[in-house]
Amino acid sequence: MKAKILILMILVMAAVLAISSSTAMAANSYTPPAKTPGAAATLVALGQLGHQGGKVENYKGVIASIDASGVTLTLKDESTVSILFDAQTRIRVPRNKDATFADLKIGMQAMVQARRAQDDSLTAKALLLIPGKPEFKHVVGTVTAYEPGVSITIQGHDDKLYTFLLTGDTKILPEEKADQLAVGTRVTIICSRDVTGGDPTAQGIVVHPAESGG
Amino acid sequence: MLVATGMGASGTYTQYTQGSLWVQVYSPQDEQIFNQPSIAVAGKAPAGTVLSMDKAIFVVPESGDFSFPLTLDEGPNEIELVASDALGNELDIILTVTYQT
Repeated sequence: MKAKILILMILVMAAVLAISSSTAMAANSYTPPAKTPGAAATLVALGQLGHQGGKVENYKGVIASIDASGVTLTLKDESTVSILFDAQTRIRVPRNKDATFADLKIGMQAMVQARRAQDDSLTAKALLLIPGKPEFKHVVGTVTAYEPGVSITIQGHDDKLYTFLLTGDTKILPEEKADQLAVGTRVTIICSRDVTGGDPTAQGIVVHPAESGG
Repeated sequence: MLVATGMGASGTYTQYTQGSLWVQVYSPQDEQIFNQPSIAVAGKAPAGTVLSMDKAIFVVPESGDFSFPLTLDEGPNEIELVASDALGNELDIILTVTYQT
């Protein structure tokens, strides 16, 4: 009798275990829902994330076309990029504070900082015209005439004579060699490349050691 | 003017060469983007090389090192560096960098 009761209890327990196990399996089984855009993607679509104000991009190239509405640049890899202007676009031309897009010509080199809009268009925040040459140049030669505070004339490597005006702002370097500046001294004159209006003004004079080349 | 890049003790540099004159610019690199306005134009050149940047004039010392402090405007900026030696070799270096806030 005891054995029958024991067998009955075991069968009951097995049945309970089987039922609970199948319930647990049902609870653990998971069918993923169809893929939906995440919250971030939704915000991007709404223009609330990632494209706030547009991504800033920088382009350097040669002006292929230009008008009041925008510029097209040919980049180093020969590809082109078109960039719109708006009322906030800043045009910067070195040594020309009043520059406008009208000062920009095809073939000039420019650097543009632009913002990409949601429709993929680019609008220039700022355009910088890259000059072909620096504002200043160096002229090396031997002094043939020197009047402190007034002018200095040097004979360059091409044997031509070059005269420069001196002002109170003209620097003489190294300072400790300023008193060595005289006819026969080898010097480098730093002056503006723009020579409109007569003799250029020396920005600086560098006195070279007596044994320096020439 | 020959332009090449290399790696030195202070990092990557761009070397500009004209005749026997050379200038290595370690900072900045052309088209580099900065998020702060204060930078330095720094590099190496033979002692005695005359460098000018805007109205600043510098004679490279025996160490060969040079450095010019520079404050950038927001957006693209041009850097005009001129170098010369006593033989009359001249290098005109124009770099563009961007200060982006």
